[in-house]
Amino acid sequence: MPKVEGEGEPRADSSGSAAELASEAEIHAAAPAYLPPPGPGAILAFPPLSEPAPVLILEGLEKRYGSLHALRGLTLALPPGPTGLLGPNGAGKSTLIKLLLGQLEPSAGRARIAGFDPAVPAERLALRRRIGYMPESDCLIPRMNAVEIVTALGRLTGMNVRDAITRAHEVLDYVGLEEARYRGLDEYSTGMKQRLKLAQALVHDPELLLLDEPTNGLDPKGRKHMLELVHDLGHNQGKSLLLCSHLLPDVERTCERVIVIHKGTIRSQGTIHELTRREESWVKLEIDGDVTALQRELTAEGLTHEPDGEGRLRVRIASADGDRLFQLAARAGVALSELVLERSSLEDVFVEALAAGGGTQ
Amino acid sequence: MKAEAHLEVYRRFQGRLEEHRWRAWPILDAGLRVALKQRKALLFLFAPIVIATIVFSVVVYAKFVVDGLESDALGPEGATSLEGMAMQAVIQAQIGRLLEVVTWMIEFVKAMGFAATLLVAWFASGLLCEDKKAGAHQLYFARPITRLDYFLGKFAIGSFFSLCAMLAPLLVISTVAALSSPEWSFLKQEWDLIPRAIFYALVWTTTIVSLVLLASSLAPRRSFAMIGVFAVVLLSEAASGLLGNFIDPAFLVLGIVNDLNALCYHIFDKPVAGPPVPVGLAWTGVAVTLGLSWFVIALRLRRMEVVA
Repeated sequence: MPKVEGEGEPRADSSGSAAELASEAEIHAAAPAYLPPPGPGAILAFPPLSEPAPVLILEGLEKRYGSLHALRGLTLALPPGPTGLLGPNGAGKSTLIKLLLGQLEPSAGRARIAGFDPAVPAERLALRRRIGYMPESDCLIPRMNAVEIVTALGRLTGMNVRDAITRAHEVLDYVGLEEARYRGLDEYSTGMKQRLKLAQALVHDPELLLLDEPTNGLDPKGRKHMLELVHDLGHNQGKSLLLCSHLLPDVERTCERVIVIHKGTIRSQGTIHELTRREESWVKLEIDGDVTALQRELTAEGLTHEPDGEGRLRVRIASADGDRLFQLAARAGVALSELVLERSSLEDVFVEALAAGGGTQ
Repeated sequence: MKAEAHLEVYRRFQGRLEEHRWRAWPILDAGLRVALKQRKALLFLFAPIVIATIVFSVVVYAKFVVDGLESDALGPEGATSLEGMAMQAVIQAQIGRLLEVVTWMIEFVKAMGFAATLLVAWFASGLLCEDKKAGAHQLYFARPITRLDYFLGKFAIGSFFSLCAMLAPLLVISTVAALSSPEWSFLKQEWDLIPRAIFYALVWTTTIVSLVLLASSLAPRRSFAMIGVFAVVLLSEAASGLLGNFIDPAFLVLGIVNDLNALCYHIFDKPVAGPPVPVGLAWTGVAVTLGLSWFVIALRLRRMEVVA
């Protein structure tokens, strides 16, 4: 978004007189060009806050290799933000990434990223300026150091020499390779190589990052560092990212949304919060008062319950029935000091999605 | 309390991404920077070419010096005295041995063909296979470039060294000839040698670099690609020699060096020395070599782009 002059800078005196405050005309003069011209009630003419435009749209995307159906009509609209792409080996994740980069032609359907179709040669190059790709396998340019690699790839993306060099140092700083930037790559650990791969994907400040198994082969410390970087990019830097991984905790920690893909179809998709919510789930209750009185009320209502061994009570209820527990507690003459919903894990969602027969597109 | 030594901050890129017309340029630039780091190899491989260039330039310079001596010895009246006539005979014998500039150019091309091929093979045989081995192609093909841009960038790196080994010496020899010839007679009478030299160097470069990149696209390692280049050149030469001498001279066209030599004589407009390869066949041989090389390279690049 173009920078508006004065944007983000607090006024010297926010309680100043009307003359000191910006006039409506000034606000419109500083507004981006796509906003409507000022007029009566012009402030109300600003676009209403709504769902952000999808960063990725798939419309019946298919890919066949001879008789092998790698992708079977994927359809989705992915909103901006961090998204995990989960699936077992051979699910079609790599094929999908290659289609998004325009390295493969779809057999049917189409994809659109930031409005560009990767299957159209003229749009493909423009699209690649907006995507940063971090491949899964080792991929470094031989005989170059980190600065040279990131600079060369920045220049290939369209930066001039000065910008590319400056930017290379910035992103290497960001990923924590500032002291190793001129060192030979043969001295790099796996974690450093992974961070260098992330740095090259970030050099042109892309809108969408495609990260293929970024924590692959990392030790716990390296993995933690990488996940912190990915989390920061997705949550604090406003990057949309598609994180391919088979490590569910990585996705759970860094992403807001998940797409589960299996045998070329989307088996499940949505926010992690939505997917891990259940129709019926266990609730853990901490009770002030007579536990047995509450147990009697629960049994009378036909609710399944059990002690958890730590002085608390686990009760299985429908998600919408939270208030009912408070009513029963009141009837039993006890107070609920804590009520914790036990959510299903992403692993449960993943296993269920794979077990489900058809796609849920 | 432990002090925070470093704070990682992500900065937004404030500049612009330009759409370059010559998208292969960054690949050429980066490739040359990497190649020029190999100083020992540069010194070792360029040494014979530099020495040969100096020797041939000195010979060409000597030819014109002797030319000048001849004119001075004859004097303005010509060789009327006995001494003058004797001097003229000696000088003409010298000139006969020194021959013409074009002959020295052809001799240079023939003498330095192996050294120039070795130089190109050293610096270009790893261009594709090392990228493939290191996985660098995955980074390149995620950028806004096409396979053609990638190929052109790599081709330009090989061509740079090829032109340094073949064209630059020919231009140095031409420059020496131009500067040492009396009253710029070289430029006035034999100026066409310069475009002919450029044209031949381009034909040689295109052919050899294509062959080297073909080997690089097929081989898993740089050393194998280098061996492959010399195997193709030497084996084709041996096979064409055998078939050409025992069955039909037309088989000489199978040797890529034979073709390039035949084209060298043709481009410099000199009669062929040695077994003749018809010019038409020589052009066909080179065209087939290029066509095959480019076809296979295109297939291999397509595979590199798709298969990680």
